[in-house]
Amino acid sequence: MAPARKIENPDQKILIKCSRGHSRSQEHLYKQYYAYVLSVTLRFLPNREDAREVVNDVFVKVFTHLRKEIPDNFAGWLRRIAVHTAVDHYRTSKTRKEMLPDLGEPAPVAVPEDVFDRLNAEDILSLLEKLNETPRMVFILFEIEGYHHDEIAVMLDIESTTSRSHLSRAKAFLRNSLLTLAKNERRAG
Amino acid sequence: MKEEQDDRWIGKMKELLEDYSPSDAPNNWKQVKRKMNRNLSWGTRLLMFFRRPWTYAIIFGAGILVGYLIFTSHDKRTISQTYVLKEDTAAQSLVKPSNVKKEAATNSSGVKIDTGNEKTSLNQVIEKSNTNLTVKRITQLQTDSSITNTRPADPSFPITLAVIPVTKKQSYSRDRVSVGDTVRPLAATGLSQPTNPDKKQRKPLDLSALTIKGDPWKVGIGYEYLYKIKPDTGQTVFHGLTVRFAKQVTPKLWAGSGLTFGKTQVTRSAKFAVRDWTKIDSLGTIYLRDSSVSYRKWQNHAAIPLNITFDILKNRNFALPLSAGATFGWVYSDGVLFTNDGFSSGGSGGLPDKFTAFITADVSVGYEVFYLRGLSAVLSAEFRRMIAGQKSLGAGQNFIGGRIVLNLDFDKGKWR
Repeated sequence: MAPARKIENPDQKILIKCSRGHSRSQEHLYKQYYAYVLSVTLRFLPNREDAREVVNDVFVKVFTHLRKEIPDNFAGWLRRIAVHTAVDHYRTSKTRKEMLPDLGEPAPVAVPEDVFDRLNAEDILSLLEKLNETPRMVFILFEIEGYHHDEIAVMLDIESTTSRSHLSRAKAFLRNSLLTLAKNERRAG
Repeated sequence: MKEEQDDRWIGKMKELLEDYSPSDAPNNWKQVKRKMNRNLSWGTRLLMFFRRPWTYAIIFGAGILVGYLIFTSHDKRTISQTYVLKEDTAAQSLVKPSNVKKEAATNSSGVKIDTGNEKTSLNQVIEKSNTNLTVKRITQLQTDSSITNTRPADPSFPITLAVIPVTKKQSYSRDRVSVGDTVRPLAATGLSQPTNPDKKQRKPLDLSALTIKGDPWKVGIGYEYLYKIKPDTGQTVFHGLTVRFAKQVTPKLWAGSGLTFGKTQVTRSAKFAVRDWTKIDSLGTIYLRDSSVSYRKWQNHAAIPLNITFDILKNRNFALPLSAGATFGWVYSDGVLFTNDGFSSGGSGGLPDKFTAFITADVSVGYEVFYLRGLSAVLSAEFRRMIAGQKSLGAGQNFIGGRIVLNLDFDKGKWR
């Protein structure tokens, strides 16, 4: 699994208060980690409204689970809950937005690294948004979150081989998109 | 080679995503709270509702509104209440002098009705109102002293029902003496009798009122603030809403029960306090407890108290009653107990799922702040001591408290 982004854990006292249902402490925790959780959910759900909705679900789960136990590594635990909640949202949404055709295998041309110098996270999220839903989920889970194909297969209720196939297509799509971006920039430059 | 290239751009992509922090403001906290509340049980949500201070503001506001409506409707009635209207048709059959006489004979209140004044007033009313819409003809003013009062002809009612003789006890009339005897209903709350609205008629001590039987039912809605000094467990503050019912058994004896919704906070814990103060309380029926000072979470308790009160001294707006309160309750607690060692879950709070009972003795002093046509506010102070019961469970029941109760008379199914 990929190392989680270094996010500081909250004060233990706040967690204890949250576990007792102290409303202000819960609100404090919510505000402190809102952006972090949203950044995680946006990778899975490019629609911002959906992502915000999932963030709320994440915090409901967090506060419910905190009543039972307080985790040692809160940030990592929070991220896992965020990922699983986003996956749950994917599984429960009945309409799949599989609109774009897969681009297939691209030519074996390396993606120029300097293309990233002109891109920011929002651009990356826009690229991910153009991916079909299942390949995007697989790509994020495998490459960003560090899950294995077997785990992804269970999470998304698909075959392990299907997961590999989706990953391959997602990579191909993104690679092609990045190359197109690089070409366009060269022309413009 | 290809995989290495992929790893490179994926690594860059991942880096960008990991460092990304959206600028969206976290302004959906209320939505999260609503969702969390939706996961709670119905009972817990109800109890949570009574935690909020504005809940009490709404309840008091509603009480004042109800009081206002009561006053205005009462004023409309007073003119016609004074008379006996009689119609010479079907009404004749409704008035049975012999029965009325019999009932009147039992009326020992000693209240006299000035029938001469009634006559004059009635004529004036008839002239002023020129009302022949509902009453065909008023043929006779009933001056029979055996009839103390009647209900007026209701304009919206059929003509034939114009006359309904009512004895004093059934009437709308507001007899201050009668009501006065009913004010000690909120058994253990230390409430006093109502004050006579007419200041001239007020008497500081009117023991004759003790002999008059009052209304059978009383309902009290109040805000309680109880500062409990408990020698064995420390000090706590309870505040919340109370609804109480009481019935007069004899002129001096009242029995009642009620509901209390509120919140208890420990202000100072004595030794061994942590476990003791969360037990049932003879005053409370339902408590929602927030023991943020101790190691407990919310605890929901339920019990049904039975209070019996004996008034030893009282007058119109002052009372020194002696109350013997008994609480028999089924106590339930679903809180989670936190200990210093860590967490443990399950029913706690002393005695979950068990029946328990204890008896308390109370001395309370009350003063009625105001009284207006059935609505009163009573301020009282109280000392309570547990005299019997399971000490290990009831420890901490001794306290000194104060409360204000907005009180309404409830009589024969009608709000007065």
